[in-house]
Amino acid sequence: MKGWATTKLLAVGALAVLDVVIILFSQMLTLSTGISMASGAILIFTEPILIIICLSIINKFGAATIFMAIISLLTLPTTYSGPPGFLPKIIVIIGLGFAIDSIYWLFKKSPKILTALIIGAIVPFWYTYGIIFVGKLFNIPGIDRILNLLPTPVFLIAMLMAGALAGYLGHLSYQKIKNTSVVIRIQGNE
Amino acid sequence: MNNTKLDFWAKIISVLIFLPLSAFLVQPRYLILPLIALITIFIILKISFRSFLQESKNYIIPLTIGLIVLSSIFSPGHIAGRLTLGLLLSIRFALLISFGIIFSMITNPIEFPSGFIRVGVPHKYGVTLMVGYRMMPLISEKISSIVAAQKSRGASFKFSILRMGLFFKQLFSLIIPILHATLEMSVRLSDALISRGYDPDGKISYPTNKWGFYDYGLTFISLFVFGLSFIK
Repeated sequence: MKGWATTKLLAVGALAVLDVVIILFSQMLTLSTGISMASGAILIFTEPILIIICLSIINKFGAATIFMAIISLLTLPTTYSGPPGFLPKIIVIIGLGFAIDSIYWLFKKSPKILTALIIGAIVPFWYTYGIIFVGKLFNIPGIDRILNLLPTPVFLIAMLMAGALAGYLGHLSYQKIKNTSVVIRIQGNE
Repeated sequence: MNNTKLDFWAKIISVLIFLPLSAFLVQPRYLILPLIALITIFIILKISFRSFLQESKNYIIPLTIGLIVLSSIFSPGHIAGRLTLGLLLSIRFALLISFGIIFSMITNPIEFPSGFIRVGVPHKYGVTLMVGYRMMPLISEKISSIVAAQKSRGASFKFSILRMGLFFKQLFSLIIPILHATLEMSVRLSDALISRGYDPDGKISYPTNKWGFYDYGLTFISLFVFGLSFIK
């Protein structure tokens, strides 16, 4: 990953930190309302939005990996994606970043909105199957049965819709900021 | 709690890799060994058991119950055997989570970037992480001021199940100003770094490794316990 300008690196870092701040806020919301879904309901949208914005601004292979790596390390002591200090969650989160980078690179010549929809839809899938992968790794009883239950049409459609909507919102948000001086400044730094 | 005694990599190697792995791989009759290691870490680092309990109770208690129930339903064999299997698995998980929580209690996130730089990870990533960590309070402050500005314009961010749609709509109205403020801050910080001569691909001086008695001791103990995991 050569040729990363300081401005681009720090922009990825700042967006990742923004995601971490939202994660911490959503966890506080869960604690204060007592609704365990409150945190997930916010993050299912905010995370793909920020990933799409990060990829669209930086437009370089590795942006999502760095973005997710920063999130995984800063949220290691928190309850995000698993218990505090749980090492496998770093692998799951960074793996998601690499998968997103690969998809973005594969669909580079496709319309940006299509890429945003695909990436947005992948994020909730990855987290769900990542948890199952960790469950299989630790041989949790009944994990195979959960794996058989997951691909139900309602579950698949709900995940696809929520993720794709978030991807679309990310694309829309980028369209709104792409002509601002700050984004042009970041994109101009090679 | 005394968290100055251990080196970052000694903590990673022992508390985050070898001890949790041995808690999962060790034969049931040797499970006491990772537990002894855990107690030793508690004593040496003077970790407050009360704060540890506060952090871990939300995981260990439901996990223990959940795993025993899951095992009694899905595992093969007699009910006594299933319950034993579930109990064994929950002990392994409790140890795994305990090591993770101890790691997060004794590690400051700011130790990550310097730790990475020391082992040769390109400093540009370590610096990004370090600056990111420092940016957290600034971004939180910025978000608070944007929320206050929106509130002064009549927006309401009170969460209610009945008005959940409106709540999320109000939250999304914050995206663009927050994004803009965040990116602006990153550009300002990168300008500050560039003006001080920082080159992401240039050479910088690396801090040296200074392992002390406790670092070697803990690494030795964790390797010893990990080695015993392979005894059948």
